[in-house]
Amino acid sequence: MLSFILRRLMQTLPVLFGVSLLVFSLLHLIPGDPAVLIAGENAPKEQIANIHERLGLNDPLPIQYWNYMWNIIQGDLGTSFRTGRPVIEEIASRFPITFQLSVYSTIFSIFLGLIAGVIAATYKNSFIDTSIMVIALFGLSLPNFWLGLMLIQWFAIGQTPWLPFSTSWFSPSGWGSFQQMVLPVITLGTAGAAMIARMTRSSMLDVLNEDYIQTARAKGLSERKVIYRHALRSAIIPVITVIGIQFGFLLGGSVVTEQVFAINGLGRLLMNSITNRDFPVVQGIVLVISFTFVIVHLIVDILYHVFNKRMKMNG
Amino acid sequence: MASTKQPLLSVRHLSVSFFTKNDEVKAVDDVSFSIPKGQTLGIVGESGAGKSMTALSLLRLSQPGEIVTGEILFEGENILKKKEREMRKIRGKDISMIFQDPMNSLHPTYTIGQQLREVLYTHEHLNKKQATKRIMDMLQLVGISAPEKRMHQYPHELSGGMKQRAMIAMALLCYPKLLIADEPTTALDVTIQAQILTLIKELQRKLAMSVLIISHDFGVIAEMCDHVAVMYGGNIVEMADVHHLFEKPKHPYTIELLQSLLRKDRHTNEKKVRPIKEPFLRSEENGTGCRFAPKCPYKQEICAKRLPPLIQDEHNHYTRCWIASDDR
Amino acid sequence: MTKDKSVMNMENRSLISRIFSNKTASISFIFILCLVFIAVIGPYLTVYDPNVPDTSNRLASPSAKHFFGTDHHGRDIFTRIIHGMPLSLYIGVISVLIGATIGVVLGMISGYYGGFIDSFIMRCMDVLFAFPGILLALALVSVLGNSLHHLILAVSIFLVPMFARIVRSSTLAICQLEYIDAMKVLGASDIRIIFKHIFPNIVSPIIVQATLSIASAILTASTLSFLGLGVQPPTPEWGAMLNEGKDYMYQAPHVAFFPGLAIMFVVLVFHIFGDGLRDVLDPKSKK
Repeated sequence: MLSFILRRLMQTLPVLFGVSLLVFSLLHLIPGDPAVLIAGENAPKEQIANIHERLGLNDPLPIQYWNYMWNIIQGDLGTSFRTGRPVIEEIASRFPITFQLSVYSTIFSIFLGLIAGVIAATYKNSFIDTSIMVIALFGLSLPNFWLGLMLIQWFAIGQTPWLPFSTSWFSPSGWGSFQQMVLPVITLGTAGAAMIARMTRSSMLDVLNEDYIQTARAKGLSERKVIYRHALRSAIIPVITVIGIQFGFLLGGSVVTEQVFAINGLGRLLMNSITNRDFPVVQGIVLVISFTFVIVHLIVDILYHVFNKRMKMNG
Repeated sequence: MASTKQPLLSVRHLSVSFFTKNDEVKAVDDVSFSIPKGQTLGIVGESGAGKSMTALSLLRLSQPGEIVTGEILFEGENILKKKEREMRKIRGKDISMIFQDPMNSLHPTYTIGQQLREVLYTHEHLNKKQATKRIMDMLQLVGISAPEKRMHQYPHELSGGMKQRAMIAMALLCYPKLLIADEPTTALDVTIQAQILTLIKELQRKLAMSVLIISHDFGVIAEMCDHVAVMYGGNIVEMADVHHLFEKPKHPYTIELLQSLLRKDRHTNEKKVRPIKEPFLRSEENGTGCRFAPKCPYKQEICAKRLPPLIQDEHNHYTRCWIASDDR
Repeated sequence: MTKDKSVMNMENRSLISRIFSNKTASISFIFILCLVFIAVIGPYLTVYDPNVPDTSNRLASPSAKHFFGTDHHGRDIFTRIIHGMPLSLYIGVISVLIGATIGVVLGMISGYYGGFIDSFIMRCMDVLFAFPGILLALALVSVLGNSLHHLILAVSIFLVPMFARIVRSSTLAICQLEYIDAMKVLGASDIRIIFKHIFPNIVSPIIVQATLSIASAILTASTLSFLGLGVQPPTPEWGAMLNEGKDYMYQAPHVAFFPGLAIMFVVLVFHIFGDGLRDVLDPKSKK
């Protein structure tokens, strides 16, 4: 167990290293001189040289990377071109919102996905099953920004005369109150719910063929207990692996959702910084989101390992 | 097998069929048998003969889509007419079942104790202490040493034989009247096979149960049963007292089985009956003719046309064969 | 050479006939052919010009004249969606071609050679995987600058690791087979073994993955365009149209509604086709 955790940790380090290297090189992928970008096309030569000096752009690349890494380890992600504030501060104030959004959406998608998947598997090949799976396919194919806009249209603005229903139960923008959170969470979590529903269904179908399910039935248990106490308990294990990846997708997808719902999280900051070509902030956000994802994925993997051990040893 | 008293279980004209893309397939076709109290019936046949489906339909555990017709009288009541809720009260309490593969028949993420306890909580109102005592007693009865320790272990921590013992303990917890054992020893090592069979026999005597044993292994059947039914292609082709059947088999298929058993016994220890390639016959072939006719060495013209009836002789020996009906 | 060709043709033919043996696969395949047909022919058949504003007719609701209404410049949305079709398919197909090629080559090298090369390539893929969702594509387009080809490049890189992983594990499975060892003993070159003997055996999972990837490529590309990266207005890219339309949601919800519907429809068709293909070609890995 401990050796697994250690091995998994050791695997994570090079990934984090690679991520930082890639994020570092982003700045150097920019066509042209970053300094010109900051100062503007017509800036005097001295000013450009000054910026070069300040950002260390004259150093050889390995040295630059070394400094970059060293700063990251010390918690320094650089300074915003635009506001002059440390990037870490800009991020810190926004991070909780994005994290909350992702966590709530993950919970939403797990909850909805598991229920839908279990029901579909229980009524395999029936009308209910087919409907759930068709809805799940739609869920996978929906562009979430479009879903967000439509939800706003139907449930927040409440002014859609040519649609059968429209209310203004929820708030179209912002983050904090329940009214503000519902629509973004649905928007972000739907694709995940669809994916988990499909996973759960196929995993449940595998498990329902197992002999121990027949044993459970032969014991005289009700079908509900057979499904929820016996089948789901095993079927959920492979689903756990997707949840880690899922969380990452939601973290990435939050950029879009925040944009649609005008939520002041990392995603919105990222988009603003891209528009303003404020690259230290862009780098910082990409780095923080990726690191968060890697760490959450690591935790989920370890959890999966714990759950899976018994299953495997039984085989 | 006509006992004067009402038998514990009496199956009449049981058929199980399901639909494939274009056909209706009869996996079990007009099967009748009965098991008196305290006796053991063996059903023998190759895989695909319909043995397991027969057994599962006794608990009404057939897969959705399978159509079960006929009558299954358990203590005089037709199980097939019961509501699902009533049926659940029978499963695991009056009729228990143990399965072929103990490796996969226990839930991998519950402890042995949890899985046994669940049976008791489903069927009997026991408090925790009473339940624990019953479980410990039962584990001891099936020959599991250190039951206290085993209760807290997961299936993967037990050997195959131990798992099957635990399965048997689980099946017997509520002292069932009928135990169905579907190939109870097939997945086990030879030495352990004998132990488990002895155990079942012993427990049957102690608990005065009736037992239905399903096997492809005539050796197992000979050792365990009072009566034997031989199945082929969904039909019972021969049914008799175990001694009678072994001494005077009448149906060509039974004869072939017994001969191959003897032959194989001499050369190898392999007692398995070779499986037929196409176990289920399609419906147009189903309706007419004897199932065994294509392979039968004594095949006559009538065999391919009409299914012979199950004919009873003076020793309660039933045979489904045109030849056996005359004196051969 | 000729012999090989005929084998290839046989395989192709059987692929088509296998598709038509599955109801879902064949129906969605026909839908895809229709989409391609619309993409090729459609732009020549539309009545309106996709890019010429008509200020007298701004934000008109759907009607017989304008099936999907008009946008804030008075342009016919139906026309713009038809003109956006080839673009979306182009982005989807080209980025999958690039991403799949890189991923397949890396995956085969990784699975075939093993050892250090394998772990190096796979760690690199882990790094790409570590950027959740569209984040990497987003960052790449943002530094490279907005253009169609940068968008395609970003989406391809986004797709690479998935292909590399699938191909690696399939390659590993093939390399277990004895005849690969036999080929090595016979002195066949690595390149020959990889492309002549391994690749043909792993085509099925690649095709399935490619189909599903077209769906996610189209979705990703339209997301980036929606965020204002990649394809820029007035190009009738569906994501970009949605981005423009969202400012008029109060007055004219249809401006945002129909482009999204178009994206969903195309992505859905590719998803269903991919699922169907998986049932047909790769029944083991049914997920």
